[in-house]
Amino acid sequence: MSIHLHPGRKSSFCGLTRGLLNFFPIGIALVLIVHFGFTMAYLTPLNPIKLRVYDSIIAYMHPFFVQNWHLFAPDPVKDTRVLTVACRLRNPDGSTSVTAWADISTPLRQARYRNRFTPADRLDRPQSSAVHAIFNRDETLNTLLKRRTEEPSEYNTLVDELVEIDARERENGVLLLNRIASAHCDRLYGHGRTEAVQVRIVVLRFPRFSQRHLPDEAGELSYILLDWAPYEEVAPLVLAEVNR
Amino acid sequence: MNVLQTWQRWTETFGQERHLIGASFFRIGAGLTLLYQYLINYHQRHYLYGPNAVWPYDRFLEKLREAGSFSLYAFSNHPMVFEAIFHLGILVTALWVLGWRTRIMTPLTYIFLWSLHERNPTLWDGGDNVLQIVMVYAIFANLGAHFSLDAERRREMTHRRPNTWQQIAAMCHNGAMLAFALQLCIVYATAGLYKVQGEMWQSGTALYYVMRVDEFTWPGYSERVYLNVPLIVASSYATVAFQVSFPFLFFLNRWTRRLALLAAFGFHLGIALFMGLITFSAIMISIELALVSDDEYRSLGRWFRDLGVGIWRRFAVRVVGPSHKDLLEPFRVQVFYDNGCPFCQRTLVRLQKLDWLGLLEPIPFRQPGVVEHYGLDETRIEARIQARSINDSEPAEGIGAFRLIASRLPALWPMWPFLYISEHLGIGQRLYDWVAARRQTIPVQCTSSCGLESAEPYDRTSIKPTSPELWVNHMSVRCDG
Repeated sequence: MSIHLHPGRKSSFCGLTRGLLNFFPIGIALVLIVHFGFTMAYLTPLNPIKLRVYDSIIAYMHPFFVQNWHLFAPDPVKDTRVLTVACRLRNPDGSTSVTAWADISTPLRQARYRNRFTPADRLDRPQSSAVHAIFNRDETLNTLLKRRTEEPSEYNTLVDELVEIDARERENGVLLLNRIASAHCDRLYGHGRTEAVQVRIVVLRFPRFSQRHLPDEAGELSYILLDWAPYEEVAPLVLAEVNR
Repeated sequence: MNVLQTWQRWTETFGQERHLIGASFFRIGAGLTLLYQYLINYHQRHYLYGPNAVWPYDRFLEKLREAGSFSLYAFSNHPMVFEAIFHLGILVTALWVLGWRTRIMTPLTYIFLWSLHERNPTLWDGGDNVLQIVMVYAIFANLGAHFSLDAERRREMTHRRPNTWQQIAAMCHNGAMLAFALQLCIVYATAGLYKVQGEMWQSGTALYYVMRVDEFTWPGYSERVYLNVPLIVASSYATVAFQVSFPFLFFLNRWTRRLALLAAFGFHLGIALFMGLITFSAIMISIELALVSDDEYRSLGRWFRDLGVGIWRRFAVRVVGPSHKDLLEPFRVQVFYDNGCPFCQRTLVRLQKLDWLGLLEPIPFRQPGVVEHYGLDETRIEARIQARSINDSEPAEGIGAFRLIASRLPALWPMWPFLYISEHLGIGQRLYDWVAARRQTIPVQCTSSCGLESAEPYDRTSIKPTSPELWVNHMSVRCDG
């Protein structure tokens, strides 16, 4: 079937398309202005205007445009953190025994030092993420908490919501660490033998810049001990570089 | 000229796609990085992403509900469903890299990428964050104009004046490229402004701590940097200065834009080398590659080609003398290809264009005498392309042959790790066999039959004419059979 346009209609159709072409760049500009306007508002520190439209900003940006560009800022990571795990094992005679602390971070990092293209790189990330979630409170949240007052206000309500989210993230971090520990206990001592796991975070505060020539051993070691947690079934961790 | 005419002229200009070469480089760079992420932890996929992964499935579903998000992995926690979605993600990403039906593959790649990120949110860094954002913009862009199967297909179509919808698509593409630039500027500006507030960045000592923590150190190399006071202080301040000034340099004029992009490339290469954040750097560089204009790429291409040819000629003739070809002889690779297959011939033409060092020797196996002369296995050569280093007796075949070829072509060196990983995982050879089984085989200069014995005798000296243009015409053989 062919469509024969009356000459008058054809010229009005062409006029419509020409109009669309003329105004489309304006539409694109508006979309970019709105989108990046929201993005800038999302990334700026809390201020009175942002406080008023906070819900709208979050509704637009979450979840598909969530972004965080702190990237080693305001302060970079300044301590080495190593995870060690102890496993309570079930013995054939029914008794239990507790293993010594096993370092589950250093083997992964050493694999990275030997070869930048190693599967060990991404396996270290859940461990780092979990430790970060537990012990690194967002500097922004710390600043917000300093300004929190006792009188009810929109500001206080928002800060309380952020604190609650932070607390849930810490809880998830502990859960993640216990599951990581369970997988490593299976890897180290055999599947199905572990009853409970305990994670210890070793923090090495290596020499500061003014004493940069000193070795790591001259730094300060501290330990953060988590509670014993029940073993959790996790898919086996298979990594040749670590299981040498 | 009045305002309306000026606006219409500007609209016509905006209706022509720009940065098409850069957009294609983004597709290839980001796509290869995604494939690397899939494949490097292939054997740990159950631990990281499976139904019983380290990030528990119930928490994963709970977070999806809270965030109003989605993930294909939420469809079911059955192991077979997980395997299907994971492997489909690899396939879709590979097709995206190859530039097959790019307009469809881009949103599909984004869906699989987003799904994987949501399945385990503990694995991702800033590079993954920015990629999942720019992929939304990329859905509106034309990422398949160059170095793609789509480009090959379009070359065979007649060119017509673009219609209204094509102009609108072009405007969307240009808008997407502008969004890439704006997002990158926001990333750098925000990161820089946060750094400015930090005491260690203010005192110029921040990079000492970054380079010394176990997570990001490079033993034997990082110490040489962080023990050097002027270097560490200068680097710390330069990092902040670069990030804060990037938006201004980018939009001021073309010279400052080029300076900003060059600084960005160097910055990310340094991060990849010293901190081991390979995928982060690869993704950031891929996005930055999209911001180089087509004219700049063409000028760079001409400059490198002239520089390379000039250096080679001066070095080879004056320093080494007539025997310069002997230097490269041990690295030559014989490539046994199916000259009855147009797809194979076109592939060899492209590889020959990238053979800057002249190390490839294509040999068509259907020419009489070739199989016997080189001791090839007829059954195996029919099934897979073979390549053999001049000093080896055993040829590599299929994906192994492409890995060997890639090792001789500088432009393909970045692909070598992916070819190596896919070959050793077994995926690469299966994918090669799937494509090879579907190649069209047409007889070449056949009369009564299309067997090897009926074609013209093979003559090594007839394969490679002196100029690339003649080489292309020679390869585009007309098949009478």
